[in-house]
Amino acid sequence: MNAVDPLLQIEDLKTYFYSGDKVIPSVDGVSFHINKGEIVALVGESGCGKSVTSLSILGLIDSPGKIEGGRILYHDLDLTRLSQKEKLQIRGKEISIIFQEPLAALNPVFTVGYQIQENIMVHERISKKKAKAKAIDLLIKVGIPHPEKVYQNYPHSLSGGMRQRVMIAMALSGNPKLIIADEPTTALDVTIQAQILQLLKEITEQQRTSILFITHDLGVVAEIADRVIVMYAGQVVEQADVYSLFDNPKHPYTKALFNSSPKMDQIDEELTAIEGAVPSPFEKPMGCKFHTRCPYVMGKCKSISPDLEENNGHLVRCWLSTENAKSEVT
Amino acid sequence: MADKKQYLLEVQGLKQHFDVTDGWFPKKRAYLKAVNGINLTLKKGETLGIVGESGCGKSTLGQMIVQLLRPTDGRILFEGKNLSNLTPQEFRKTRADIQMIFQDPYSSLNPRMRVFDIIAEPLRTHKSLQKEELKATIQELMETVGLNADLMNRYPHQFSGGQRQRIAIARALALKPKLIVCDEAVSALDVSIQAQILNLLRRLQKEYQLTYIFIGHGIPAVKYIASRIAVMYLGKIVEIGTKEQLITSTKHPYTEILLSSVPISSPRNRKRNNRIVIHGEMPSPITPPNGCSFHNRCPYAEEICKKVTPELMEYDHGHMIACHFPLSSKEGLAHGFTTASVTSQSL
Ligand SMILES: Nc1ncnc2c1ncn2[C@@H]1O[C@H](COP(=O)(O)OP(=O)(O)OP(=O)(O)O)[C@@H](O)[C@H]1O
Ligand SMILES: Nc1ncnc2c1ncn2[C@@H]1O[C@H](COP(=O)(O)OP(=O)(O)OP(=O)(O)O)[C@@H](O)[C@H]1O
Ligand code: SF4
Ligand SMILES: [Mg+2]
Ligand SMILES: [Mg+2]
Repeated sequence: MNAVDPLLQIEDLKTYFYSGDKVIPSVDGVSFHINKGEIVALVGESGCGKSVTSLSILGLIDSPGKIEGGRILYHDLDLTRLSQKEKLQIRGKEISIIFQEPLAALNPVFTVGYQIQENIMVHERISKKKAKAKAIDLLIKVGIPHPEKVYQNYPHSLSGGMRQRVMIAMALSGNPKLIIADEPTTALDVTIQAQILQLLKEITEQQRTSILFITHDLGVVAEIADRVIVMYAGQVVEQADVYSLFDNPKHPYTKALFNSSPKMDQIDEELTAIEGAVPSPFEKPMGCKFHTRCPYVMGKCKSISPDLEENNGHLVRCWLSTENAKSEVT
Repeated sequence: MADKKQYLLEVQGLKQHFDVTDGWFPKKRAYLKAVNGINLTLKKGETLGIVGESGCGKSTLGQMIVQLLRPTDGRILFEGKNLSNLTPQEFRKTRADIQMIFQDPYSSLNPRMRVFDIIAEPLRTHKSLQKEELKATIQELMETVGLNADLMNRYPHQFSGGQRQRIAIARALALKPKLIVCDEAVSALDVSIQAQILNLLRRLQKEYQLTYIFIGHGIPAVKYIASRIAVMYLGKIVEIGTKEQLITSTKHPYTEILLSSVPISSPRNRKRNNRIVIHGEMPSPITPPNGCSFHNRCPYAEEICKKVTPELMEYDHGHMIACHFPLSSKEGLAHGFTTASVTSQSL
């Protein structure tokens, strides 16, 4: 692993949504950091709070949502306390985002070239001509064939894979230190996914850019991540470097995730599905949030919430691991 | 060739050409060749997986088989009967025998109908059951797919994604079909829920002798559920065979690329993985290229590939390939990622 050199440090982040008189604790005390040049994968089931975490980093949480606690330190700056103007200076220039559906993020009435060029000029005081040359360089860098031609195209006339490349070129245009990629390949074919993952890896290698990569596909994690954070129902339940996590997943939810994913090199045994569904955001269980679906559930799991505990750099939030660690010590 | 009677489904020269002519007084009519000459056979009780990149015609093929779309050309034989010239009675019967499950459990269920009525709908149109009988049937169907029958008066939005897909499956099972076309039936679900639904489909298949066509872009999931797999490219099948044939002795260059693009299952395989990156774009199905439709992206293409269309030919017990230069088995292994990942699995 790289030397620890944190670029972003999230501490006990709480982002809640309000619906009528109900509170949805979408992100409920999340802490993790991202080092320079590191690719951190954030995985977990739909609704577990991955996107809300990333939107909190970007300062994009609006009513009915609110950051209710914690800090997000970027260098020494607490991103949760910035003014609107300061947020705009950070967004795009220091931290940028790539969404799953690039069409939603690109403006349909302007050519892609114009949009990248404008983005460059927001962050850099250079002439139109220089900005255009830079935009074309970016299109070349993300592997777009005939960049001069594509520069003139409107977003809808490009294929899904090309649009995602354009999105990445956009995200790179302010020379950000951190890219948040929220399921950037989920909507793409596997062949195109392979290209985009390759491209993102190259970018981090060449520029020491950090990436927070949100996905629910463990295969994608195996391809790209240095470190992995597993979330369940608004909390981090496990965190480890990618090799430790795949060799030795510790949280029952992470284990279940592995056992329920079909793999190419597996003979046809039955998949072990996780029974039940993610608890509704309104009725999160007491104690361990996973206890309603956990095959190892014990009495204490139902009433007391386990803490995220560290053992050799591997963090787990589970009573079972806590007990095992204790018995190892004694 | 085997006896015709043993096939549940036979597709011959099937085509779907959509009229996409622009404007009111076009100089030339334009057709989008979504499905452009497909042959395949299906035996009772088997599962045929269909994979291929977005837009290659998988859903269009499925919709013709369930009679939602009329073929432009070619024939579909179900239990030996040609679906294009059925009597009204036979049409109703095959409509019941062939069902479809869609990707999106959110939009494929009517939000204003109770679960009871959603599942009852096909029964009401095809059968005349007494009130009590209907209720008992629905109770049984819900239990079969693992839903609590007490919830039959709820609306779809009160269920999770996985539960909604179970409702769709219960509805598809209501008329005791013989063939179910699953179009991306698990693609929108979380992995943990995907596994539940895949296991359910497998269990139902055994219990009711069901035959499936399983369309999917998640190749590991297709491999898990299918016995045979067809790989489509630009409206055609380029390779079809048992999943073992396809995966361990890959013959078509496109299949090879597709399989090598599947994400690895452990980071320990990062260095060993021989990924082949595909170049260029899928050509427009309005003006498909001459010769082999894959030639502009194929790493092994020669002159002949640009001119002569390769036919789907049988190489080995049902393993069929449409390519002038099928990979030799040795080559397949050298390029394939399967050997690498199989060995690493023992780590
Ligand atoms: N604008 C909003 N208003 C109300 N609740 C919201 C809003 N945005 C998110 N939530 C809730 O916050 C929780 C976390 O949502 P989030 O979008 O972060 O999930 P996710 O992990 O990104 O899921 P997915 O994999 O489906 O994208 C969910 O329960 C969701 O319903
Ligand atoms: N009703 C229609 N009119 C015109 N073109 C159509 C129509 N339906 C589908 N097409 C086109 O036919 C081609 C095949 O589409 P189809 O939906 O069958 O692809 P697919 O393989 O299912 O793709 P995906 O993986 O994205 O679902 C595409 O080019 C599509 O745009
Ligand atoms: S704390 Fe208990 S319920 Fe939660 S994951 Fe661990 S064993 Fe399962
Ligand atoms: Mg999300
Ligand atoms: Mg489709």
